[in-house]
Amino acid sequence: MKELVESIEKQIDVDKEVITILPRKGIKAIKTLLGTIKEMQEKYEYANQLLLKDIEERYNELTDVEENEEISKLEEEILKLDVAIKNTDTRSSFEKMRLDKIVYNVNGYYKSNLERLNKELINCVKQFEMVGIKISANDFNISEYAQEYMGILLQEAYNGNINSDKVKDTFEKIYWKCSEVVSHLYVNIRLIYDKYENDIDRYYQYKIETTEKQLNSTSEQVEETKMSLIRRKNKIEEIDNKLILNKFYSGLLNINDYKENNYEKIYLDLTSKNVKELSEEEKNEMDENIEKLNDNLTEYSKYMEYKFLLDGVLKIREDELKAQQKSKDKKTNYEVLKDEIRKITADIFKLNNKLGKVSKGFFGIKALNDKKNSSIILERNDLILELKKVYMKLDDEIVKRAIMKNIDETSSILDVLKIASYYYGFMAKEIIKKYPEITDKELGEMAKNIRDFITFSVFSVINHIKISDKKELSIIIKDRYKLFGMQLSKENFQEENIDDLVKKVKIVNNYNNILKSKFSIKDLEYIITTKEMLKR
Amino acid sequence: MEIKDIDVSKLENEELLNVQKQIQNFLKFLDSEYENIKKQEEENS
Repeated sequence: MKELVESIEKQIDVDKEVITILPRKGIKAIKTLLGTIKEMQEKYEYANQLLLKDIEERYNELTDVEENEEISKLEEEILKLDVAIKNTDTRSSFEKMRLDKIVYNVNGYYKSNLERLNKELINCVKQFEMVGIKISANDFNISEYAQEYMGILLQEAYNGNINSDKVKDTFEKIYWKCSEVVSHLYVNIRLIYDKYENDIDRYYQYKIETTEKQLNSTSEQVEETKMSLIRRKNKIEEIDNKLILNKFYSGLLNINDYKENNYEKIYLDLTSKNVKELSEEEKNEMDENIEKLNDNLTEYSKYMEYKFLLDGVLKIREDELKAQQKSKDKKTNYEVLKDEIRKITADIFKLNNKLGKVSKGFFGIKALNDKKNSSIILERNDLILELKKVYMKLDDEIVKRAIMKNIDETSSILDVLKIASYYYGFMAKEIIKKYPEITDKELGEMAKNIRDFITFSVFSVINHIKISDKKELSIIIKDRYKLFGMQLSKENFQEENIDDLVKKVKIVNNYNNILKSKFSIKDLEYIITTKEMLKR
Repeated sequence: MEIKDIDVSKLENEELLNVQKQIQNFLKFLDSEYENIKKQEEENS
């Protein structure tokens, strides 16, 4: 309504002129002027309130949106399928129980945080319970220290406070007698798992059978169903009104990037086509390619972020292939380490028996003061530390075996990343190698992000590209889109330029998606400006 | 045209914000003029 705006502007100019030219000399003139100003203030304040009311009403109407209900339903379905897949995949029971993460954290957390250590220990007990194994303090019988601490911790957990003063005091007391108590706990968890391994394997075997019966599908079919649900969810989310709005509210998207002239400029840059001159058919086809390129670039960028894991796996494979050529041993390293574990464990319990301690209740304090017992305890503690080292070597060996069993020249990049993501300890080691300054919390987040990437992404590139492919992944992607008229070069994919390419493609893709939602770009500009104004 | 009688419903969103900003600026001008004139009144009395 241009005429209305112009007439309002004119009125303001006229009223401003009136104020400016009214006389200001003399008491009478000043009083008149003040009166006139007051009248105008009332008039314009009234108009201002009308406008503000309307601004707010329009804002409320535009932002009265809810997230599409189908999104949460799909999320639920996807998680259910993911649980089914995780119960039936090729990981060992140890990884399925998440013990790989727990024991890694038990080993590491105590250096920074007793609370987190306690949380992991309780988590461990719960995981065993989940697979039908009820463990108590009596199971922590590798040493009197481990048993005493777990006794108090479990008692306090029952009372609802695993970080009580009693727990802290007990840890303090035990720590000064045995500073390696957490190593004892680590080794004890491993021993408990070994003791019940067959039962746990039977639990997961039963899970596999019932899951396959329930779903009436193979694991590949379940995986494919999960992928198609994720695809559907992604499609809905891209054009969801609430999610789009939230992205602008949070600053993830900047409205200035979505001005029409910026969109046209980037479109021209990427396609060397003027978007206004394209027919509807041409535009749809180009937009489809941009959407695919966006997905591929997202996949590519994330892969590049985690490529260090792939490199780690391939290095182990390369070294192991060389070692296998030289080695003529009849027994594998795995078998040798398992034998060593059995032997050291037997020695530890022989010494524990010598201490005259029966794992019925707490170890007797009086006995600890005995000099002979002290030397037995010393020997026993040394064996526990040795056993810990062997278990850690075993973990490396397990990863090596999984790699040699599952990865060959026909494996895809995704196959390799999957194997890497199965073993928490391996992932953690590689992350620390890449980011030596990373904190425990950041490491945990990165490991979760890696696993989420593998589990909840729809792949179209790295699931096909083989580790033996000589052509660079960036060139494979670039060449595909060049065939369909996009202006991409090798330089776009270089480390210092890739973010810029990803951003540009994202902007165009997001813009196209926004136009499929309730909002126009102008609506969003209005909302963002008004939100700031109304301080919402 | 009386400013009190404007039909805001006829304004587009962008126009609405534009007009509100102009009115707000004019109100600031009026407040500032009022203060100046008031000071003058006090000095004269």
